Amino acid sequence: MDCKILFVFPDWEDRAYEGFLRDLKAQTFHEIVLFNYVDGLHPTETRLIVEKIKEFCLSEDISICELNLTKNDFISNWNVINNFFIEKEIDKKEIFIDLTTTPREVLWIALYNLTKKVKSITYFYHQPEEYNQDWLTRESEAPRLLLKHSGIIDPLKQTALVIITGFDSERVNQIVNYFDPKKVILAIQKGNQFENQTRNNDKLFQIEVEKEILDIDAYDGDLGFEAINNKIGELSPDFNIVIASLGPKLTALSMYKLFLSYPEIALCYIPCKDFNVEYSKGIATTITGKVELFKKNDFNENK
Amino acid sequence: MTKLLKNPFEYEAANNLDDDDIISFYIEDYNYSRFLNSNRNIFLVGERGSGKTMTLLYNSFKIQHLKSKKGKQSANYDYVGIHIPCNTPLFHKKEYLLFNDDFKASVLCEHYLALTIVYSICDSLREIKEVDETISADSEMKNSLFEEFEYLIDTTDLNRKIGFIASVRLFVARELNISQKKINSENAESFYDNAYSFSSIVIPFIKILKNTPAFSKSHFLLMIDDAHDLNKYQIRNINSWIAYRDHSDFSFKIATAKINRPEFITATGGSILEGHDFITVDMEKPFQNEKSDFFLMAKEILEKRLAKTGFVSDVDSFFPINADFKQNLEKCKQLVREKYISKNPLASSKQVSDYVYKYSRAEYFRSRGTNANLPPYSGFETIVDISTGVIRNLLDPCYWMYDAAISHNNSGKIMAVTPTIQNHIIIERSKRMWERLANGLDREVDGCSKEQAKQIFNLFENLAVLFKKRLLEHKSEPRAITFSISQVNSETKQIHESLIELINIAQRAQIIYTRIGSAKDFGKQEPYYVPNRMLMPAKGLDPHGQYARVSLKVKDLWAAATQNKELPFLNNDNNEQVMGDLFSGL
Repeated sequence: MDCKILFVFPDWEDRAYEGFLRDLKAQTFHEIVLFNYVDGLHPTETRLIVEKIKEFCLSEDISICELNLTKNDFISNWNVINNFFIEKEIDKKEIFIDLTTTPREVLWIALYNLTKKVKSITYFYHQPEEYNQDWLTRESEAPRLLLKHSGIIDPLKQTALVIITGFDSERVNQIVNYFDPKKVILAIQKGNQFENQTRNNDKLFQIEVEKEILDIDAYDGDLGFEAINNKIGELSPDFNIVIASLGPKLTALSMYKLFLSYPEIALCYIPCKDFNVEYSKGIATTITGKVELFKKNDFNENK
Repeated sequence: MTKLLKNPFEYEAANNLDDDDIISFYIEDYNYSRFLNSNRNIFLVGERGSGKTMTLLYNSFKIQHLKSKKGKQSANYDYVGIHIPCNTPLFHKKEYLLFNDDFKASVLCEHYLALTIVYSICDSLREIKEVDETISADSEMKNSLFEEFEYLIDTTDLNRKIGFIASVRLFVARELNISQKKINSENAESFYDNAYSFSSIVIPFIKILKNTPAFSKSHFLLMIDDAHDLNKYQIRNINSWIAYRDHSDFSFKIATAKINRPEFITATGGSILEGHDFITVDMEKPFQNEKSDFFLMAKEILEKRLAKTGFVSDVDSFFPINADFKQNLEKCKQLVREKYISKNPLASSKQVSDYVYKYSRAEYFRSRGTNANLPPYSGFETIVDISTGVIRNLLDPCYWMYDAAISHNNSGKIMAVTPTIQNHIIIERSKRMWERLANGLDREVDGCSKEQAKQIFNLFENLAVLFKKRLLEHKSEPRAITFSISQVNSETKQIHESLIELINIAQRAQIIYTRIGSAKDFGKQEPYYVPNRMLMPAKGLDPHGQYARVSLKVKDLWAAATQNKELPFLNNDNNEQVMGDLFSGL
């Protein structure tokens, strides 16, 4: 039987542990790799979840390895995750990632390393029953370009920002002010799940530059990839493209796929110092799927 | 071709304007040519929206050349301005942090900066036909340029089928492309073999250009924009270049925001000195009265823009003041004059006019009933006042006023914005600014905590309360709406630092501006703080202000911020400082 490894990054939300249990019901895992911030938010609540996961693994005789990261040191995290994958043999293993509460930056660094060793990964994403109505995140820090994914910037071109928007409209305004682009594409999730049409409405974004709205569906099979892919294809001859995922977590995967297709684009992450301890409640639908990790060069060789 | 703007007050970031718009919008009389067109290194300092980029672009060789062509004059090659934008994703890359070696990190940062400078020089010059023609016409010179560049840079990769400048431009774009790919690859260190520095590519390239007849007498102005966005290595590199002794061929003009203004340390740990290595030019002009530079510049800016709509009269006619407001101000002036003269029959005319200046507007606000609505803020002077001396803040309310006026008008052409519309927009924008504070600046300014956002809100609320009390009751300087911080000593050092952190956050959000003025003691210079005057109307305050600032103790300000304690008020305290002569604008 193929060895199956699950990568998980639990936080304090209900769906962190419940989602983990669902993951284990869906597949028989030989190993769990548990990412964790040693200086993370809501440490008491998060530690409880982490300990529950470790106890469960112990009781089920599943090997578990904890990888400690530092929330406020992205350079250290880059090195820790890279070194982990250098030493870890995963070439012939089946890789699963529970995206649910995994920070996007950590997810992308993991994907960067996984792309060198495996051709695909299977993901789990557990939707909550509801999101907090009042606030989700605050005290955002300066946007930053992901290491080794900061694009190939052409001085001949101006900047276009592609933002997959979410429920924090201020972060959209912040990233636009930071990059001062010539053009902004707002990729807005379709539908009214979690009051999406009210909370993720283009009228909330006070943008004074040329903008275009793009409808996407992260819950469609392709995670919103095709719509954004087409747009990037249009823009890339004339613009340096910076792309940020602030919306549904599944779009973080499609963003990475886009990067694999267009290594000249830059992936952007906006760290936040504070997440609401009541960020979400409960657990609802689980979405699972497979993502191929072909780099542009791989594709050309395979042709 | 000039872009057709639907609204003449539309504010476009200068980088997004085309060349004709830059020429038509820029106000020649108040530019900084005398500083920029010199061999001196200059730091051009001003807040976002104060016109830094516009100033650099206007003084760039490309624009000046176009302007000369339009005026059917020959271009002046004495000063060749090269605009070098730094707010691009290239300068936001963080891979240099992966090197455990400070030196390699510095080399990478200098490499990107040096290539960007050469690229910008080429980009500026290649569009100018006569430059290329001059160089390309003489095939011997052209070959010699290629050979010299290839020899100095140690390359054979230049494309000789195109012009020399176009070829160097392509070469640099390619080098940037290759080095970024290397840095993003597993073998990042491989970039190091072909890393360029200011000395290895920029200086040689400038010297090569100076060997051509076109540029033999030229001085290159390397105009670095948005320097506050650079990382510490890039800043130290630039400082090292500023410290470079020979300024005959080039000098630096560096535009930066006041907040996060770059440090002065060089790459070797030395420092550059104001006066010796560079001078600072503050773009924020005095703006307090109708004779001040900013007032006159604002008038020209708005009239120039209005002229594009076919409106040929003066801006006061387009933004008329509310008739009652004007009349009541006049009445109060008269009343105050008569009162003063009756009590001081021997007063000189200067004393009378000074007194009237100080108290007539206050009298207007004091004479309004406690249940009266907010004053009918309107008129060009009020619009200039609420701009707080920043061009973007001038254009923004005008944009919305024009927009509102058009939507009320079926003909699609307007000859004036009514005082009612002006007042409505001013109050609305003012309330919106207070909403931003109430919602918390942590939502929009990175590095601001929720707690700090609350403290900033408290601070401004209490400042508004104090200014209102002064306006209604103060005997001496009722309309002072700026402040300085006093009693900073070893005991209060910590709270002063925390208070300055709050002010810096507010400054980044453009809720407050920092200026430098004369202190009371021994003519020293001290910073003073100017809350954005757009805050005043929603609180019924007078945005016009006066030439005085209130000296507030650091402990009181901190208590106001952290405990929401009211700032102390005495109606006859002597803790104000008069900010120099009434019409000096200082």
